Amino acid sequence: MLIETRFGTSETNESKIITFPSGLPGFEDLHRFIIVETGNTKPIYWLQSAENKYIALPVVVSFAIINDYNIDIRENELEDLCVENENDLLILNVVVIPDDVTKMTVNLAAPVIINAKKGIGKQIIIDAAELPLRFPVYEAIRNSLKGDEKNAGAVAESR
Amino acid sequence: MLVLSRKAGEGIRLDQNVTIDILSIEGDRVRIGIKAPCDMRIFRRELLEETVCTNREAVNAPALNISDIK
Repeated sequence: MLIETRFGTSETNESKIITFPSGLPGFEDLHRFIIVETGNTKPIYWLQSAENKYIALPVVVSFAIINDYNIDIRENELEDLCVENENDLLILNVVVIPDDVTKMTVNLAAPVIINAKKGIGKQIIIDAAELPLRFPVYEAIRNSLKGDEKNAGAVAESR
Repeated sequence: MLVLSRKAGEGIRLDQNVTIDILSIEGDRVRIGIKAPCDMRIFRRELLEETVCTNREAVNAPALNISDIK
């Protein structure tokens, strides 16, 4: 199937579609997304709406680039995503990139949790003092680019 | 919207398993205690509102070339 994306027309197959039954906060009407990776932006990926080509949220695998990022995911949240094996879980965080990219921030309080195997996702909100909504992430991304390239491939492998 | 007036020490019960207690009121600040099942996420409303903002702002990301970061 062909999907119109922010980056042009993309050939993908139905199994790559991630369904968000409740949409995302701010985009409650959009339920079908794909993860787009472009060589130009790794380790930033794009959570691209399959229904509206203009809606693509930059995301990172925070666990790969921020050392002490810890969240607790509840049993019922895993059940909502039909997670049978925790290894199927992909956790992304939305990045806000202003024109001055050095000021980019990541929302650590609202991880997007995805069952990569079944293609079901949900953005949850965790109220914890150590999880800011706008955590400066430019340096962490820079360091991950300097460091190992393995992490950057993590998303591609898990899908 | 259901609107109720409560005093410190009083509370509200939601359904079978959620209790919201008004612990104290000092000036414009109210301390609230909530008892709920652990599978229920409880968070300050502004976290949802700010997540709506960050999600919407995220979509406005400029064209990015990672080599600008290296």
